[in-house]
Amino acid sequence: MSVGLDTTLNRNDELLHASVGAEECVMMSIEAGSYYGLNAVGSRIWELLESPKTVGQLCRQICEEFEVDAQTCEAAVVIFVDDLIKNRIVHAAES
Amino acid sequence: MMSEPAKIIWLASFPKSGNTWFRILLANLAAGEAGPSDINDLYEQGGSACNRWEFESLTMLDSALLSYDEIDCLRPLVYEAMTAEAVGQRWVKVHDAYTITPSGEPLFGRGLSCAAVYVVRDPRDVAVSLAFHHSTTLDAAVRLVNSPDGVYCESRDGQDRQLRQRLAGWSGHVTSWLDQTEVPVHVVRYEDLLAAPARHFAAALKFAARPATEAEIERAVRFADFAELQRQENEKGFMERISRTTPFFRSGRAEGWREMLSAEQVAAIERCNGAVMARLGYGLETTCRRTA
Amino acid sequence: MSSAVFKRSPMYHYFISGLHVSSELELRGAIPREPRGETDDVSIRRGSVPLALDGATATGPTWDLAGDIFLLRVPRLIRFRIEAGRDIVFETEPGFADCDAAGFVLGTAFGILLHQRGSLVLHGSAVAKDGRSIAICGYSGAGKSTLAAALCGDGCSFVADDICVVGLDGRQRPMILPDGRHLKLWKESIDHLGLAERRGRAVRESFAKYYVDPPDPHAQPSPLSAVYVLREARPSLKEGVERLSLPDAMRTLDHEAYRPRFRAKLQPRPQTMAHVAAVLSRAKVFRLVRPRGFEHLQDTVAAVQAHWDSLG
Repeated sequence: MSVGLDTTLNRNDELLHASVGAEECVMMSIEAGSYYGLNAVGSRIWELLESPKTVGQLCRQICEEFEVDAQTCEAAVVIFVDDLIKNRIVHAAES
Repeated sequence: MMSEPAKIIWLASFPKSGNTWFRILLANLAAGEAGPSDINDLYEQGGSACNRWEFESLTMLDSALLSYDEIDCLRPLVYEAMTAEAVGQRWVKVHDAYTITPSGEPLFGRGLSCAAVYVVRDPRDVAVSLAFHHSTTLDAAVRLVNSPDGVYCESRDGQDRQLRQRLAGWSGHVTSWLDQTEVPVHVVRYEDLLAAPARHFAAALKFAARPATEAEIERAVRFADFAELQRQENEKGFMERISRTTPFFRSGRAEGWREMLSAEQVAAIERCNGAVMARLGYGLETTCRRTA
Repeated sequence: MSSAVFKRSPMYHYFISGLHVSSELELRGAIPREPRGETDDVSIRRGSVPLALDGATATGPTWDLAGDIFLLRVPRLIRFRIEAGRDIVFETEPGFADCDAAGFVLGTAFGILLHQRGSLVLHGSAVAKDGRSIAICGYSGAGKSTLAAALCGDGCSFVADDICVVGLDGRQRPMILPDGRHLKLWKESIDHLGLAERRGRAVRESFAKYYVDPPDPHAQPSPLSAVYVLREARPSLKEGVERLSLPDAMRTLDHEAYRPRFRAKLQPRPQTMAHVAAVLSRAKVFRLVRPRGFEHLQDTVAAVQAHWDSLG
């Protein structure tokens, strides 16, 4: 089940994270012993989720900052967010 | 049967007796996936008792500065620490015989909360499998099966990846595990596992108080089927294989030794191991001859 | 009273992993230095060491940890009390020779001390050329030291063996600090590399592993370009050099740390993570798979040199 534009997202605060270079970011779950790497877009999404945001808000922000049209952006962000949720990097808040 | 699940199960066997196959069964059981696990990426592997990295990690010591005997004297403490740290039930591969260290302690410590599942195989088939795996002659393999001083990983001028393991010869190995009284032990014959895998796998799991439904066991058995393992190895290789010429999953059957060993080799194995072979239900070819 | 009773122990001086060290024990595996006038960073003294630490917050089969004091026991051989990244006190058991103690001091004890100082310590060797360095990591016995020595025979200068400290300079660039130690090589490697003349004493009496005086030790910290993790080629693992993805690189550097479990107990996770992330910002991590055996060593050297050159 994909997220909708109105879904609010929260960071998983148990994850440790650190930026690598100007654009990338690496994360670790001590409990699960897993490591994740986020590229430029992913790192920016993580940064934006310092406070909870809806998927729609993320799309608008990403669209502004990166050179991409709204439709492509939305499709890509949704896929991305689904993946983040699957890997427990972010949670979808109960509405 | 254990009243409470042991934290560590020593999955012990003389080399080439089916240890890897058993671990693949366990991994498929634990993974609970819709298809067979990748043999090169098995889920929840409990590791081995001879992993040098783990030894160094727990002791903080550089094992290259310690003699084999000094390392053995530390191993009981290491295994007790491993037991204390284990989350859930951990099955650990062991090829060592159950020995006593130079300081008089059982190698595997006095850890409460341990048990052993001992996998045993006809030593004649073991010899054949050893020769193929290590690319040695059958005579050399027979010597390892027969020799009470047999060891794995005891280089004099280099460092083996694993810690030194005393094998004690096939019968020495078997009796050391079966006759010790520190650790409860359950025996599985490779040949029985081959003939009725679900039944014998289930019995071992029950001994270890490792919960598993009939369906889960049956699925694990199916996913660890020898033909499947061969198929995977053929496709992507298998990391435990060391022979350049022979696959790890080579034949997976019993009594293949009849086609490979000479009469002298069979007699040599039976001379050294006959009593224990008989104890475990392996029929002998040769009968005892009194020398004049 | 005869003045002979009041003999001072001689002091030996070294510069190890960027630290000025004074030691009552001669450390045959380290390169001696002239004493300097000021206080040293690290002192190594013989003394009385208890069997256990009161108030230990963590214990292991051979060690106790209480705050910034670490106690290490090597049964029947030697005990250490390592404090605050500054002092190592050792006590040997009767019959254990001082010259054999040095190996434990330089390796294990010093590695722990470095962790107490908050350093990022890798279990590996390092070599430098053209003002930059690479680290070679891998499991014990993988062939890191032999490869490092072979690279030194091919134009590189020696930086570190076994314990490799990666510091960050003022601009957060990762730098490997010269470790001031000798190489440790098995006799087979020494013979094959033609280093018999530089062979020193055995790391422990009757072991076939020896200290080898490095021919061209690098004196300065040098920027780290890459970490190569050494693996043996197998039927299921093909030869070659492969760049690791970011998460795999981080996992690898955590795994290749010197005594990772200890580091985790001693240094807060976010701190080590930030440090490793800073390393990954500038240095790439590769997996180097190569066939074992001396007959392949020169090919491996050539492959590493070529790959390193290609990094730019």
